[in-house]
Amino acid sequence: MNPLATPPSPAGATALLPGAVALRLPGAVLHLLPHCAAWWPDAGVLFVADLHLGKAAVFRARGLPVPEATTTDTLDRLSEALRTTGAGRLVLLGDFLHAREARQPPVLAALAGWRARHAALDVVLVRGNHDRHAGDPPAALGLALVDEPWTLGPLAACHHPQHAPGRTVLAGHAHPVVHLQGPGRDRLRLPCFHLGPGQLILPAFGAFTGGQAMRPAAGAVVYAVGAGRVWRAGG
Amino acid sequence: MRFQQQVWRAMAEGRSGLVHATTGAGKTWAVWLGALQAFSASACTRASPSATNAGANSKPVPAPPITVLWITPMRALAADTLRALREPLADMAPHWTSGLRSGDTSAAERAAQARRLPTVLVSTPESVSLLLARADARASLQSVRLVVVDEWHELMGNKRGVQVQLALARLAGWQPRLMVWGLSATLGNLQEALRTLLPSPPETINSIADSAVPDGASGQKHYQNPPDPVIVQGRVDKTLTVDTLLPARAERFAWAGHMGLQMLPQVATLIAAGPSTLIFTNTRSQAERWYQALIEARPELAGVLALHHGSLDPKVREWVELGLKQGRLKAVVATSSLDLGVDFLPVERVLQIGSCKGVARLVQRAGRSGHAPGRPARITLVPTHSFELVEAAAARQAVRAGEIEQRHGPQAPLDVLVQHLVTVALGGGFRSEALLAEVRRTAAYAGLTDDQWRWCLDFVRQGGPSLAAYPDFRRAGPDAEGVWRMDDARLARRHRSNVGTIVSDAAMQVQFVGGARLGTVEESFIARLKPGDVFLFAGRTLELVRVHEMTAQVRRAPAGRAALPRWGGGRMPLSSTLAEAVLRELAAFEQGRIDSPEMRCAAPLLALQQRQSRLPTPGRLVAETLRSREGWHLFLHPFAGRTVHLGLASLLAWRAARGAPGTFSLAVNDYGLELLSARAIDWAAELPRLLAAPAEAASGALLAEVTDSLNVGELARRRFREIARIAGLIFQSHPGEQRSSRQLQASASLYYEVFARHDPDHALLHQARAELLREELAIDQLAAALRRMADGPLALVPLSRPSPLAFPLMVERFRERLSNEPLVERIARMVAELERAADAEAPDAPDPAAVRQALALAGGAQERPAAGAGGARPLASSRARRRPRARRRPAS
Repeated sequence: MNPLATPPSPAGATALLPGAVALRLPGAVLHLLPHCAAWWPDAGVLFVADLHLGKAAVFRARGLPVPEATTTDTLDRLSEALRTTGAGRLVLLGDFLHAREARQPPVLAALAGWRARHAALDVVLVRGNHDRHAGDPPAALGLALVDEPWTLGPLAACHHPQHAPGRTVLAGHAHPVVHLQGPGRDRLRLPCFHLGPGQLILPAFGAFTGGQAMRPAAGAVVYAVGAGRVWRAGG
Repeated sequence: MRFQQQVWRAMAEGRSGLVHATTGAGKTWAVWLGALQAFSASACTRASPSATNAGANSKPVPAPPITVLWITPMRALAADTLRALREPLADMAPHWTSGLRSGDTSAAERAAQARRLPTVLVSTPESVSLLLARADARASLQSVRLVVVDEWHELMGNKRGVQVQLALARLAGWQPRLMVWGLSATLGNLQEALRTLLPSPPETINSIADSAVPDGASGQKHYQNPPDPVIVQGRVDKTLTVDTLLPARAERFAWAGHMGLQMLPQVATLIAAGPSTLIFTNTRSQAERWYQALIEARPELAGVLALHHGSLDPKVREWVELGLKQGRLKAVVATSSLDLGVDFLPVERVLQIGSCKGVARLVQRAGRSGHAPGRPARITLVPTHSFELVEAAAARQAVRAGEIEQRHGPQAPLDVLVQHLVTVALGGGFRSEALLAEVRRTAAYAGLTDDQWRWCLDFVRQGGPSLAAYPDFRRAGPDAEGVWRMDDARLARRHRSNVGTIVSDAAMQVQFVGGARLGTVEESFIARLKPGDVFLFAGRTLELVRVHEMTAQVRRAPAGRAALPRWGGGRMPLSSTLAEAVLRELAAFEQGRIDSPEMRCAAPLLALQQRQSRLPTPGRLVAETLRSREGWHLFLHPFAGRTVHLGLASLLAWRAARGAPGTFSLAVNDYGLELLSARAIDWAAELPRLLAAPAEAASGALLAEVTDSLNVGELARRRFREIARIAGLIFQSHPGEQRSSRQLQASASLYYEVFARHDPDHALLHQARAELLREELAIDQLAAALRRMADGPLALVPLSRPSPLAFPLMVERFRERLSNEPLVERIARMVAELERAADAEAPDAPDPAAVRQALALAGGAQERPAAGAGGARPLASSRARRRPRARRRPAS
């Protein structure tokens, strides 16, 4: 898979989707979507991280009863994000399958069904730590498999947060969430994008994934996702 | 020793029973000698027909198989109990063997026990469950003739007690003549305590022999119902003195939760001058802090003052207990780890730091002193804030009037039953009908419905009633003969290492770099520290060097500021018995009857409450309103205890939010509750509607209303954590254990969300709500409180600054929330707040600090932790607030 030679179109002209926030990075304008995905309209690329598909199946295989519906839930939301953006390429920032036992018939069937509905879509998976344990997904899914960092014009698609000189790293792995507090001692815990110097960490996309509270590093900005919107929440 | 003879006669007749008395009255001896009389001779001569098939009898004088099982609630007690039981063995039953089985038992001893259990085994509820999970459980345990449950009052009210009930039903199924004896402190409802302890007679006599499990029926064919059980009252010749260490200047005394160190000089003097002393605290962190402060105040106490709590290494605890017994130690600072049992400590004096929270607990702790017969017991209360002076006076009155709390057992908790099913599936397997009949013999599950039973079977077999929802899941299931078993070795191992109903954070070993082990602390505490951070533990000031696997490596820290370990579990509610006694004291105060030193000492502050507001009394509810920077506050002071207040606060917030969408922050303590709204609300106008009591007949409507309020609140979700752990959905890793199950990490709240969304009828979700209503929120008490509040006169006082009763609520950091406001508005408000905070260069002084200054309640400022109640609000204080305590690792 060759890195895509980005055909740069006039920057930032694309209309924002409802609830999204535009983020001007060196050489690219990304839209942070309330779907917990990052959208690069100029290149027609949608980024999502940490689907952890089949996590519920792994749990069940190891004696922990988690209902099956989480896999279809995740795939439906992914389809929705693809439909809304009209993306031509999907980049998965690692941890696509949760573990080896995720390859259960119901999970694979759901995946195959999803792929059939997006047959024309170009899908790239940047291998994450879970993918290494799980092994590469079935070839029939037609995913392009790459190792991090996978450069894409001014961006470097990764799983683990890291730094790539001269490029902005898009990463997952951390499952960031943020705690918000307000008047009247109100509190909320929301998934978030975490923008540090040269690095954007995406929230986990999977339905059955936890989160880890992040204390924004100095100079970092946090974008919380909630109520169908993306909110700049401090930094 | 009349009561002991009663016990012996009853045991000789084969009766079960309950002995109740204060600590030190000799309950242990009464039952133990009775057991030796009843069994040692017969076991020796093999006269008993039941002691059959106990294995090869080729040795000259073989020790009898396990005959007595002695269950104690705490590991710390087990070693002591065993020592005590061993004393008469050499004379009375030299052929008996004895041993210990608890979490502290060494691997070598476990292995020996796997071959053959000793004649008398001292154990804990968790370890007994583990024995039941052995494949040869029946063969190795059916010879048990007597089970003694020590400190039954500690167990009967919680799920560990249910675990014991299930174990007893199992043993009674194998041994129809099983005797069960409970040892208990005095309770308000002894009959119920006895009923809860004993398995009821089996449904039909015949089913017994055939019921239990596959491996050969050795049941007694000509079996008769056991003789009626008895309740024996132990010796109560001790007189009990309750007094209070009074602060020098009450008006400088704090109102809110401090460690109580203002009283340090007086306590230090008492210890130094007096005879041997036990100093009880309510939390481990408080024990650590007090130990440290006492050593600093009186360096000469080093070596004769010790620290004892449940997180310390067993060796350390044992050393302390022994030192106390041998008189080497002058004083010990302890938590409830020294509350129970250990009948033989020669302590002259007992101090209680802070509220004792209940009359029974006060009596129990007081029983630690003056052990010699005829000596008076004496407990001295050390208040940590002014209202505890009133509590002390009230407690003395309650002791005098003999008002002791009642305890009630949980009803049909499915999480414990699910765990038991797996335990029994491992322990030889079960047939569904037989096990159902056995389980229904317990008080907890007597009313278990067929549907609930079926759900539990489905849960362990296929995840839930709907097969389609949980493909490929299986934990245990019936084999071809219909016997339920668990054959996955990995799942079996996980189950064994997670048996029990005590829910705590994952524990982390604390160890000197390349040196001695000190004990364990919660992982979540260590997770908040960076290498180089300093904390207090095991009476030492330690610096974290690094975290390796599940061990925190530390070294001695240079003198300086220390962070305190913040252990959970310190929030025991004030009993309603004691809370009512407090209200009566306040009423007496208002009528000018001030007849105790405590009330005289508290008088200036009570007068301040009278001046600024009103005093609550049994007939009068006081409501206060206040507008502050934080929002619109409503304070109510019903004095119904923390649990009822929590239910009341959710209900009132729910009713308030029904009028107009809103978000409410709720704070409760043992005296009252606070509702705080970020938006303007006229509390005074709303109150009559909020406080509307249900008609006598319509308490079902109240139930529905509270249930609704819970669905939008966070309480059920929090409650679910314990349930998820007991039902085996989340599990703990243990010190030294590799994190091999990294891919199986999910928090209880994640489970809660997934179930609520995809399996909303999940029985464990229902259980979370039901437990909340019955146990945490005490729905009956709540309805009664509401009715009382609606009947009595309401004193509504608008405040210009917080009253003495309102202040502690206002600075309470542990809060619940209830909201039915659109999420988008809440987020918008929070984001706006963030921006305001970012714009303001220096944040202004937060309200509580100003308030404290205004009230001139200065004491104890130096002991307040850095991120304390008065800390800056945005972000900085988040770590001090309650976090979801389930393990949260990057789920990566």
